[in-house]
Amino acid sequence: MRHMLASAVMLCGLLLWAGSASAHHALQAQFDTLKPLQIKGTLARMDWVNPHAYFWIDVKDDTGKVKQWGAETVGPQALRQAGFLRGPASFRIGDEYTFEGFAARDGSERVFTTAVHFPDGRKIQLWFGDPNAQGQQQPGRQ
Amino acid sequence: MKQRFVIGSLGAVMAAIWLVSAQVDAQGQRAPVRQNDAPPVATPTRANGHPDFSGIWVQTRRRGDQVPAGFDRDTGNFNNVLRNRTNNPVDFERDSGIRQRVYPRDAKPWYKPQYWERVEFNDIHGHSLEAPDPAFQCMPDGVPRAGLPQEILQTDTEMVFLYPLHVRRIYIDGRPHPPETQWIGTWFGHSIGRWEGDTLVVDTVDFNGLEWLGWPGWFTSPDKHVIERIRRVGNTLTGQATVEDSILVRPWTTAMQTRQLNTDPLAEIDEPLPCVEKDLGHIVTRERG
Repeated sequence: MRHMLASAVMLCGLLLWAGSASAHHALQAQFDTLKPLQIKGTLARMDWVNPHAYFWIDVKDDTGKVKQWGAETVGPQALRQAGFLRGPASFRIGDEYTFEGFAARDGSERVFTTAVHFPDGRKIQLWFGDPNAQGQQQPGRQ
Repeated sequence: MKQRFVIGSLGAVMAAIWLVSAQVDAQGQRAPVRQNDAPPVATPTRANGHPDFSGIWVQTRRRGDQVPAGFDRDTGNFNNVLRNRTNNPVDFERDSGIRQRVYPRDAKPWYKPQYWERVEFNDIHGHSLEAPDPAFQCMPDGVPRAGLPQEILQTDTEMVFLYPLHVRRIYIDGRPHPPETQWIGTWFGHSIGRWEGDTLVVDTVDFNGLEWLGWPGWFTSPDKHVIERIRRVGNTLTGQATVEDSILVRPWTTAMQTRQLNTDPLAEIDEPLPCVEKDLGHIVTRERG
């Protein structure tokens, strides 16, 4: 219990205190954690900014039509601490990545990132809940 | 209204659970004894006899020390999953929202009755287009919400407070505030400081009335007047602010904030990255977390 609290407090620090410029918002107000989603596509550009970094991915559908998706994540400082050690230089524009995450509640082409698969096979997991616990408790809707 | 009551009640119950669990946690842990063991550090002073606040007042990591736990050297994978109170990812942020609303009765700013509805409205709609918290829109925190800075640079006539994205200047050369006819309305106000013994007393006026005092919808007016008392004892910096405002029943005093000096001679602060809000138009529920 103590470790859980410590982790929660630590991540709070990452999310909320990482620069008081953090205009952090509640994840669940924008994304549905019960709707996991995976997108694969070409990295078009990155916004390495506070409070939430964004990756813009060109995703081709079955008909070959390309749509650009926005993959939102935590802020730059938390990203580096999570393993993206060279910041935006950890990525290459034009390479193909797979992003795992949660779908946007408003149906827009946005996802909240929980993991990134690199072209070389590396995977960086980025999440603060136990993935095995999902679904055991129904998050309330407000 | 009923919905608000339900949400409020739920919040109160969860807050109680949080407080109880936090207390148990605190009791289960042995209290740190570092303060007593540490040798006393003299408070550095400048040639003019006043305390020197210069230094970095946040803890930093050295380059190369940033590899997190969960790194698998064989695969290059990072597994950065953290667990929270219920192992439910949503509750992690929900807890944070509750914590930010838990204040002892006397620790809240007391608004005049005609402003109660606006505070409540702000609190409920703080992450929507209707009443966005300025911090959520990447606007400056202002004074006193910004709290103590990351770093302080001091001369005999000026204190420079460095925040992640902003610079605040406090003039300690004896100048007065400009007359009200020359106020320009700013986020951090016009600050002048004087020494009372070893305490820096900072007086700030000329605000824009856009900044909030805190997350739960605590808005302000351009009449705001802030008096901060900042003191350094050894390597500990403490600060507390009192806010007067025509929309408050009585002055509001913030909680005492404490910072430890970063004693790493090679400490560096990361480059300030801009804050760009991209989500306001996509927020669906009112939950702020």
